[in-house]
Amino acid sequence: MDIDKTEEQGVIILSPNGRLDSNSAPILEQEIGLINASDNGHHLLLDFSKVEYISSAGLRVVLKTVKERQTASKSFAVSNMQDHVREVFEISGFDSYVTIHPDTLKAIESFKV
Amino acid sequence: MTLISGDKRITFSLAGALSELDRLNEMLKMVGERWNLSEKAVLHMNLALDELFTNVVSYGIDHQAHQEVSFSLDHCGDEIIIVVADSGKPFDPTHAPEPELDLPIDDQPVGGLGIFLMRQYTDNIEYRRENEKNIVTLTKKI
Repeated sequence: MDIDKTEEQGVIILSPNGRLDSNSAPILEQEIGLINASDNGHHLLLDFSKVEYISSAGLRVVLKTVKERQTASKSFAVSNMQDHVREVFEISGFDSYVTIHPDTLKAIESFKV
Repeated sequence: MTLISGDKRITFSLAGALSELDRLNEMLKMVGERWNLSEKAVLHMNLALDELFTNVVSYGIDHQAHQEVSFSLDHCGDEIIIVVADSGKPFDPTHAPEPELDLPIDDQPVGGLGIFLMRQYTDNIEYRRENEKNIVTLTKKI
């Protein structure tokens, strides 16, 4: 799994590309771990625009990230979910743990509030 | 991976490694094209089988023995019946505990959702242990 990493207005945007399953989720988990360890006050946005599929292994990484960021008082949000991915999120009740923004701009704005 | 394919039955097997999930995806896309299934039905089958396969590979099978997981799909009217078999430790997904989705986040365990999703995206699941094998039969209405 390729993961693009960009920075915009103090927000680190991670954009995984492809299928987020038990084979690829550890790659994302590791990348987020590196950001959490070295982060100096950036917000973190996980951009799902190029994620076509998510399984429970991907959900697990998101939940772990939510918990770790909350514990460290660091902000985190997700954005740009395709319908199927969003459906899996909602069925699992994850939309109550993390804010799903429709697009990157709205997510960045939300961090400024 | 081997593939046997007829009009109404398609069978294949995967090695016991998570990297085989890409092949599972390829196989199900092929099944979808051959049987003219909706993209949604293929996605749902993929997620259910992914979760079962991931459980079997992660906890059930003996990696030293290079055990495989076999899949057999039958197209019966408005149903796809999928039989998944492995020679690993006994594991009955129909008796896995339900996750508590309404827990506050601090109490929510990280993990345990796989079998829940498998149930959500299929219409029936049956388990039996036969000849030292786990045999899971999933039914998906299309």
